[in-house]
Amino acid sequence: MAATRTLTPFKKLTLDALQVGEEFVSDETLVIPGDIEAHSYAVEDDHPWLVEGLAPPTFMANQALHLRHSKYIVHAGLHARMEFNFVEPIRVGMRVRTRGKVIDKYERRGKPYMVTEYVTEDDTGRILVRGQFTQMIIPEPEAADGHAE
Amino acid sequence: MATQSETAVKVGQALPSHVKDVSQRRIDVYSGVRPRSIHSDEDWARQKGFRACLAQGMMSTAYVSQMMVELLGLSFARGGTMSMAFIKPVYAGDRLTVRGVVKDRQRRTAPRGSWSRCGSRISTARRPPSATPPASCPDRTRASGPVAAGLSRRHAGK
Repeated sequence: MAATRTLTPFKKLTLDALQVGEEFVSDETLVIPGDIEAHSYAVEDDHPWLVEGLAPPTFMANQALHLRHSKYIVHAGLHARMEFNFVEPIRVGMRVRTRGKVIDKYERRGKPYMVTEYVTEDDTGRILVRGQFTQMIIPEPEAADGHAE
Repeated sequence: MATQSETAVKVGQALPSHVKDVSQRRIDVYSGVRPRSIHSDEDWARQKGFRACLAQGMMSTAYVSQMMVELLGLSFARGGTMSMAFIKPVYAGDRLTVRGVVKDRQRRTAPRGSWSRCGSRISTARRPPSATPPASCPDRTRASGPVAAGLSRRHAGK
């Protein structure tokens, strides 16, 4: 008989639902040449990353950005600020994962914001990138200044 | 890892600038295509008050990272930092100019070595001709202007 597994409950993301101290972890991603080629095309980056066996520094940024999607239904989000600290290069063939933690939430000018710190590491636990991002939680009926996710 | 000598970097020096045409196709490749996404579903984006699909903010961070790698070499990926503030949305069809300037150089004691601090700015260069927002649509990006600004730095201690 198969073991009983706990399924992830997804909640609608609101300032009230969000818990400071809450932790997230992404799935593991294998860094493959095709994804680096797609990234380079998308942002018009002609650096020969694959020749060097490397990925661009911000290559895994979306893994960090989407951490909150692992627990919440995110209607939409806008960036306010973002910090990156590139510790070690991301290399082709690495398996990488991002862990994050909500470190603050607040309202400013009537808009809800959340602050998440994160670290991206390889499968040996070596840190590749660490950082922090501040995102506005968009109330469903409206949009605002900022950048979309 | 190859590194451009930072001794050649001067305060006030311009970073290699870029012009980026942010097409819907490039946004789709970057973000994926999904229904009910402000990046790939134009009707949905308009319902949310935007005049067109939006580019992910992460695309702007990649532009700045690209400038820093061109200035300082690949070792920006080992010890570089970026701090970005997002000012306005970037829309499909926008043309962006990405510029930066070396604002500061600091020499510190080991193990930090020397730092080069660069300011950067991404601006819309023009408004796409097809993007006429409906009267009911709040459009905060009609004028050209900055869409993101950032500070990046890298130390040469290693």
